[in-house]
Amino acid sequence: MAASQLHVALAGNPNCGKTTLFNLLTGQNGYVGNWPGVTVEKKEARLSSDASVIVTDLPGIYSLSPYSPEEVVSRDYLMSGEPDVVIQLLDATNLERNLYLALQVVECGLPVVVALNMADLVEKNGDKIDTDALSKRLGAPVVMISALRNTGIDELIAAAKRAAAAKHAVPEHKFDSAIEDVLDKIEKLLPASVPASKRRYYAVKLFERDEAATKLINPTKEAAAAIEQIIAQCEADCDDDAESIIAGERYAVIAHIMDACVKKAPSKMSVSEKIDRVVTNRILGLPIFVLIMWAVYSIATSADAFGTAGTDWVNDCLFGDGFELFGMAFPSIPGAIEGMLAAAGASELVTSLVLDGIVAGVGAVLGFIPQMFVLFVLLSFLEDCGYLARVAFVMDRVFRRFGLSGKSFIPMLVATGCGVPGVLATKTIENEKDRRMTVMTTTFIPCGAKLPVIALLMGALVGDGEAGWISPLFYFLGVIAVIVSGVMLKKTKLFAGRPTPFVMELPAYHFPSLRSWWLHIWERVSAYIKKAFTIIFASTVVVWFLMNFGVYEGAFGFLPEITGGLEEFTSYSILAMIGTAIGWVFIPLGFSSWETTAMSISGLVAKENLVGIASTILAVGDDTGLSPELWQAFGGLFPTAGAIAAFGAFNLLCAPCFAAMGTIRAQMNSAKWTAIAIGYECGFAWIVGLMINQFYLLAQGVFSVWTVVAIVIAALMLFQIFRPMPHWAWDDDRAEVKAPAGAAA
Amino acid sequence: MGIADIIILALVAAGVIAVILRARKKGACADCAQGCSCDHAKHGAGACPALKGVDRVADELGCGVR
Repeated sequence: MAASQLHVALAGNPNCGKTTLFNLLTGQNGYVGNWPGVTVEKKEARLSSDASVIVTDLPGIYSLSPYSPEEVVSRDYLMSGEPDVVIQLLDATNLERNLYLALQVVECGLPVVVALNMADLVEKNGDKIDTDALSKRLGAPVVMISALRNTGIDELIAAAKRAAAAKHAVPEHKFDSAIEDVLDKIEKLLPASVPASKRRYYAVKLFERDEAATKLINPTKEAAAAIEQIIAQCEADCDDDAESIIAGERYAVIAHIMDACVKKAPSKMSVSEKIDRVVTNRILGLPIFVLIMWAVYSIATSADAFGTAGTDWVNDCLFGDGFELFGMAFPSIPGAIEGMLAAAGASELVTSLVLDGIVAGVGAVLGFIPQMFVLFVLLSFLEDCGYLARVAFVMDRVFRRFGLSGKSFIPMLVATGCGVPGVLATKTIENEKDRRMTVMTTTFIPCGAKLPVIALLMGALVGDGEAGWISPLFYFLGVIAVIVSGVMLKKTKLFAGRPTPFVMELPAYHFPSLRSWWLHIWERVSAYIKKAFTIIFASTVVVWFLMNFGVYEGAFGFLPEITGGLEEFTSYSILAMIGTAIGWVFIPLGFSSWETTAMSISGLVAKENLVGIASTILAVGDDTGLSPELWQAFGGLFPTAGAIAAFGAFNLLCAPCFAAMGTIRAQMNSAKWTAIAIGYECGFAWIVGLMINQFYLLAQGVFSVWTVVAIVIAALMLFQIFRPMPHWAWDDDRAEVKAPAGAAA
Repeated sequence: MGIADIIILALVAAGVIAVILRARKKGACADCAQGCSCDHAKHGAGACPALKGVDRVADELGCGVR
């Protein structure tokens, strides 16, 4: 660490606004979520106004007792000696609960500045906090701030710099005199190598029989025996275990602090509580969630919506006939590029590569940007205002009825943006079986990249006039797939066990800050654009090559030339050969052409790639994914609407993109479990596709051996869903609950 | 094949190679929602916490703690 650098650690409870403050201080756009566990590990960046200050955002925790990976990460960092000062962020509207961690951080002996966040809400509630009195009782400066409204930040930084100069702090709070005597005795037994500023902290930790702290301190055998004797005597005197004694003492200190420093306004129901009475109502909660998500997807994709109008403009003007701006006529992108290629004298091969391959593929994906923008505006608003946190609470009731935990729904909420952070968010689930199951099912929820696929499907199924209602159906297909999978898997030996207890703080409703809202939207839209020009660009080039080169009459070459301009030249391509070899797998699902198989495979690179490749394969180069010509050509690949729906269900539920699969691999930390997860997703998707297609055909009066298979599988699934929970299912979970929730099993 | 064809094909090939190198350097993180805009992307392959797993992150942070 350079001497001129100042390391500032941001610590605090989950969901108290650490990442919002971190972003504000550093100008970063770290992911801010309205649910716990969003910050996965520490994040570092330099202070915008002073590059010599390095700010570290730590995961949110409730205490420094190392039960969860977040607590281990935060405690290890605080005790590593790296931070010069800790900014202990407290949600001032929940001061009593937040002070529990604050007391422990102060006990660490590090210089601490206490930041009371959400000062604006405290003022609005009419509560009064005596910051001077609080500062005296905690032995650390206290600053009122609002990270969301950007108030008190300069004062906070100045206080942090002053505190850092003091090098260490002395906790002012005292426990009951009998406990203080015990702690004094333990302090005296600590090795001399433990610095004075840390002796109190380690005395408390050794009293709590904290294994990690004991290992670090490594007291002599005699000292360890003496300490154990002191603890045992204290436990006998207090008739309680050591950990509970300390917890009780801390709460007693907090009660005194609250009494002396906080004046609560006469209690009245807040606006958030009034909204929650309706939104989280036992009966209305779920229908309201369904209605809201229905509205979100309908607005993002319906024919009359702004997003669709934007996409139409991209389709008709930017990639169609060109457009006029300020009286000047501009050609379309394909038109302009075609003109340039012709002027340069490019050959047929190069023109085809650029126009039919790159422009068609990348253009088809880019065409969805306006719709993606609208979707993310709405989803980000729901997340930032605090509504999505309520959804986890509402879904906990539904999930618990089936033996699942609402905790499993948080990763699924995160996955509506992208499956990667969704899978990553599963680490907050302590129960290993529940965590694995959530990893396996999280990517069933349609991520943003699946929106173009949904738009293509609904265009092919019903056309744009009625498309608005189709899109939410695919979202709820994902939710239903999660619930059905969860219910079935929970009754197997691999995943049996009681659901993880779910405790969650619900943030007060608030209008999101425009900066945070915009960062959320931009982060997702920019990533989408970046993908279009990188991975999707590369795959369109590869697919164009595979589709335009092949063997015709024993000769290998550029098919449009060697076939003599044969219209069906792609049937001789390498892609057709690969697609035909694999296509038989999808015969029962109603689509087995090489084109649909190639699209499904390309979706593994990135889900939106499916639309880009569809555009390339179907040779509607100047059309984006919302073009009626593309819908028509795409629909023509399927014999029935049931087969289109089966294709959609398979591609939306099967293995996610490679990035998400990589994350699954990392989180499972086991090749076997990764194979089980990917295999289950593909198998489940295939079965859902099979049932959709076969039951559609049955309704049309078509009966085959696959109909029987579909009926048998449906009957088995219904049996597994509705049979009572086996008696052994809840017997073996106790040992697992405290297991580390990290990637390694 | 004319000079224009060669130049365009070279540009396309360079683009594809750049994408492959980017993916090799940054792992699958090149394709996540952060789109390499996160801090970890700057530090090359394996720096992404999504690909490490929480235990490894915890181990690294705990390394050297006395």
